[in-house]
Amino acid sequence: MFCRPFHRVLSIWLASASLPVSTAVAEILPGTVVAQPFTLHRWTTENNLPQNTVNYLAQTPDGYLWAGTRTGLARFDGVRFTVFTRELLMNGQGDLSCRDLEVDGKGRLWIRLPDALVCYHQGRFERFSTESGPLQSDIQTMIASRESGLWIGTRGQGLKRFENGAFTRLYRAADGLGTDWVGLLNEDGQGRVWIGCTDRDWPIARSWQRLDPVSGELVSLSEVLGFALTNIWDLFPDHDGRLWATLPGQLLCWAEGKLTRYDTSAIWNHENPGRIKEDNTGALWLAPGNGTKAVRFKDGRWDVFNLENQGIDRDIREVLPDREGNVWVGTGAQGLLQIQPQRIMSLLTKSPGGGNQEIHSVAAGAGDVVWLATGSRLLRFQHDAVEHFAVGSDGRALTQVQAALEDRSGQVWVKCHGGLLKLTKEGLTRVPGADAGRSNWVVTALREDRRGRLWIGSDSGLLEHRDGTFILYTTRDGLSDDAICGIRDAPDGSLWVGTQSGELNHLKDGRFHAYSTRDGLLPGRVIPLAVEEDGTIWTGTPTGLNRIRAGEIRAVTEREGLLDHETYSLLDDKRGHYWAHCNRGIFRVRQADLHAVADGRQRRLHCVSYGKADGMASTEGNGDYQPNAARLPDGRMWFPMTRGVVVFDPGEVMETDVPPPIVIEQVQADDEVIYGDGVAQRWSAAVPNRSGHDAQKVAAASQAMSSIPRAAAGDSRAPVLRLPAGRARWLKIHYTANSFFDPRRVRFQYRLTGHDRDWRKMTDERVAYYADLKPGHYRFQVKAANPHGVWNETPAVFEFSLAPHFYETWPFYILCVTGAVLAGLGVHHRRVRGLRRLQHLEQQRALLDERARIARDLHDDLGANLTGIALKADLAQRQLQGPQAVGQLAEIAANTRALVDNMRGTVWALNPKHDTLEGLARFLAQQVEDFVTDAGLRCRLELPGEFPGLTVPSPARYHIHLVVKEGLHNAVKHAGAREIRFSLQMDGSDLCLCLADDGQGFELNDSQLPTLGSQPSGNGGNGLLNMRQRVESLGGRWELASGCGQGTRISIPTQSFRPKST
Amino acid sequence: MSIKVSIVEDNQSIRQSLAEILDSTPGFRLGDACATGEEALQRLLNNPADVVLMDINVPRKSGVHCVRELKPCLPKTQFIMLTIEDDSQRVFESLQAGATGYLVKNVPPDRIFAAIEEVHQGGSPMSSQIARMLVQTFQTKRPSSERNEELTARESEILTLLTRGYRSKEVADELAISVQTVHTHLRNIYEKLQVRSRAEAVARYLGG
Repeated sequence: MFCRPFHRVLSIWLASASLPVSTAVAEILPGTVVAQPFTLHRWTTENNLPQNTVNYLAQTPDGYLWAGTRTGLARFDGVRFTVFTRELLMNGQGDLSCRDLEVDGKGRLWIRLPDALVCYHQGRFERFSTESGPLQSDIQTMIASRESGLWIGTRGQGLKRFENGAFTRLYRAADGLGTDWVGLLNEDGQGRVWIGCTDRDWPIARSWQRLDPVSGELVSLSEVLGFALTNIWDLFPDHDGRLWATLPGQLLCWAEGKLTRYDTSAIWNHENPGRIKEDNTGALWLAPGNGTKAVRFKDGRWDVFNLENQGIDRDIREVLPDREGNVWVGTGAQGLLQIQPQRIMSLLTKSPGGGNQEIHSVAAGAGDVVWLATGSRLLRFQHDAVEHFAVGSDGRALTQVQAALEDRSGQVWVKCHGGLLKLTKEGLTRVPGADAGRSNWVVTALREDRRGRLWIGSDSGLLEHRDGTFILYTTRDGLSDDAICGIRDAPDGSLWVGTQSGELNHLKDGRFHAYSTRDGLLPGRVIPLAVEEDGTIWTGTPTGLNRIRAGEIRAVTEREGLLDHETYSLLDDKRGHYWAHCNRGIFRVRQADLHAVADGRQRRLHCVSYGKADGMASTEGNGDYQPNAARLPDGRMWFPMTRGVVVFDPGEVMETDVPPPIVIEQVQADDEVIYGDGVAQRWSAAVPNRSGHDAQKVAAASQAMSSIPRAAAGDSRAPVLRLPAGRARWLKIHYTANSFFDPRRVRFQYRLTGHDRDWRKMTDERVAYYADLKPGHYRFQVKAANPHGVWNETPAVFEFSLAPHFYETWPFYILCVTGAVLAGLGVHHRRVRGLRRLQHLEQQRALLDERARIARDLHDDLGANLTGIALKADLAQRQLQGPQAVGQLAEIAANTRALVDNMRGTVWALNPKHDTLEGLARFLAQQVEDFVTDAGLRCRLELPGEFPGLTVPSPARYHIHLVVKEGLHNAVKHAGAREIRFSLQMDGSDLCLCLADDGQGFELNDSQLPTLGSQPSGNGGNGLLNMRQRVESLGGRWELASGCGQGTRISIPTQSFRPKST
Repeated sequence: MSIKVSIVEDNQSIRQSLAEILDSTPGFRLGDACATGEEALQRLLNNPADVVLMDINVPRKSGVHCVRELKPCLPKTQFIMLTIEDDSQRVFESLQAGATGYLVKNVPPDRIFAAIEEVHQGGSPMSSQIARMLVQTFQTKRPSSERNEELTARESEILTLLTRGYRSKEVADELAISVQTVHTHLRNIYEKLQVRSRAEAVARYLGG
């Protein structure tokens, strides 16, 4: 790569050195010759170019630049050369010297080799041998037709048409062609071919003819023009239908029946400037001067790009303007060159100390005059000539010259230290009366409104110049603040005034109305920037732009995509864009987008930005004094920067902003190329528009060495690759965007639909990696933006599908799902059963809780209160007199206690806490002990040391408790009983209870049993029967043996008792 | 000298009646009558009684809790637990905490006075069920148990008899010792129970 910016900065002073060169010759137009600054890039074999002699250049619609050398063909994307040799050869044999590169109307690249024609299209090379057979031909030149196919000029065999792999038409001298030696060919917009026929030994065309391929008519040039022209080097029909011809010392243009001659003696005289090329702006490109310069011709003006200054000392072989406005130059032995005309220029003042080169303000004057304020002087700039004013009429040096304005009368007003000056015959003189009431006031803005009134903004108020006097408006007149930042006038005659304190004042019909942050203005000083025809005004603040339309205020900030937080200007280019400068350079934005974002209809603003890479000396703008940017009548824009002033033609600048075409070059899966460059034919690419069978046939017929499927940008017919299972453990995708303006700054975004959720982060890498992709259908998309942020929103697409392993297939999934469902059902069934059991347990538990609660309540409330009653009765007993009352109270106390006792038994039985055999035993033993002790007898207990963990249900406990109690009562009543024995034993699985006394016993006669009165068993007769019934209801056995040492014995089977749950 | 008895009982009727009956019975005088555990903790410390009738279910700080707090501060005070139901587990917990006896509330006043007097005179009324639980408790050896936490042979003998329904008097007759000696043994057993339960608590605490 060769030197970065050259001629970056055009010194204003130096500019005059390259003033127009004009030579007045009658009826021959002189044209203007301007040496142009440009940036030159150079690539050689060191950058992987096959050879340093580049004879031919072409650009295919996918954006690639192709360079034909003597040793092969190279493809270039701005970053990388891909060299094709194998693809051009047959069985590795042949001559790689490229003779012609042509792109036909179908986008096919045609490469002429000494022994073959090779066609490249959509990644496929087809080779047609011209060595022998029907294609044998001695080709001298060829052009690709705008339709399709080739026109081929031969040596001695006339003109041939090559289409579909064969010569289809033939024109020879016998058919009216000038000679059989066809040396030069050009096709016009209607498909007609201009044919330059030469002599056998002389390359200059002897005659020119135009062939209409439809009618077969041949017309000579003199017939077309109506007069004869000779010595024509090249004849070129341009896009607009004009016919151009290069001759020694002249360039001719035939348009609409009129011939224009341009003198070219400053450019060339007797050296052939080579083939004429046209760029996308309609300018012509030539390489005169023995190949040391490239020249552009447009509208009578010659722009010269002198390569000699750049150390290029050999001939230029080919010049090719590309779609972005760069010009490519193929040289002999000097490699490949790229000329980037500098479209944005920083003009620097040549300040004496070389220090500060700041420009504070730019104002357009009459004609093409531009006024610049540099701080210490005022500059008048016209036709590259500069006049400067550094001293006032009082002889003192000027300071703080920071704004100037030329009004429509031609009067120039200048802001300088201490106030306002105007340019008179005497020089810059003070303006009497313009002082805002203060001697040290500072002018910040100068504005002439549509009616020709001059308005002056200052730090002390707003001045209006009317009839030679100045009228001052301040806060006393309704202005919100005296410190004014900027002034704009509206079509309706009203005035917008921005202030330092952050309000926008609207002066209409003599009244000020102020908008502030309360109305939605962004905070900070307000500079009105642009007023649109409908009265909509844009203002700049330190945090963004505001739009005020019909009283409604909207904001657009960096968050929405504004290039910088503060914008100093908005210039309308009359093509729907605003151009602005800020502290990050210059940007343009579509006016419609700006409105859409302000309206909320669009989320992101798209700023196309320009900076140092575009030739600017500084990206930091100046905007504190108005006017601070100017658009001249010729459309060029001027912006004041901290270094110099930036000048450009928006139209020229925008020519370079072509969305970059995107190409997916190659896809590798696990180290194997599966798509694109260098693909082996193992993978079948299903190309919808061409079956694999056909592709093979064509490939065979044309001896294609390699067939490379390629996804072009926006190609909806991109192939879908099917990869077998287990492939693409990792995937590497090479992509590129063919932008040559500043390829390193091209930005990409990509995503893999089916894997990525969204576009990935912007990157400048040209390769994407993916690993561990799951089986499925994938769509890789990549889009790109040029360095100015112009996006190609139509992504390049690579689609593929990854087959699943058997264990990743639907049948397998269905099998798994079925299995899982069955297993799930089983689990569910078990869970439901478990849940039911749990529910049952919970119900039981709730029941138990309820029982416990009832037991507790009975105890706490009923028991306690009854006990209280008994105690009261006791108390009353002690306090009362009279045996009868005492007796009755004693009875109350006793009955109450008996009641509580009974209740204790019931409650005990009820309380689930005692649901164990041990609990039962304890309770019974306690009952027996208390009862027997109370009766004054001896008590003997026999209980086992340990009890089996059995749950004794509440009813069983209740019945057993009552049986024991009944038995106790019986035993106590026995005559002569002194000791009562109670035993509780396990007999096998039976629970055996025995209650015996040492009394005399009784007969088994119910009637003889003593009545137990208040005892709980009710009347004695039923007592024994009840005992028996209770025991039998538990499935147990009840025995009553009367006599000495005998008593009640019951045994109850415990099988019905559940093991105690923990 | 009459026995000073304090009552902790939440049922107002029982508390008042008991208090009046106590006050009107010769040989007894009323200390404090508290309705809650908190009240008891405040008042009983400042006005120590000889015997405290402590409801096992008193609200706000249970009876067991109160005994555990009060007993170390009032070593001379005997605590008799009052229960409405036969919940030997709770009773046993109180004994571990430092109570000396228990009564079912429903018993006539005479029995209450008898129990108070017995406890006051160094007696330790013990039912067969409590004895059973004591036996079970002391059967489980603690790894770090010291001598003063284990029962002597005589103490085990006494407890075994009690589990079989013997009264203190009958035990004394059976073993040919005085009732007073039986009571002394029982007191010792109670104290060992307390020591043991405290040690267990510490062990539990240390063991995390």
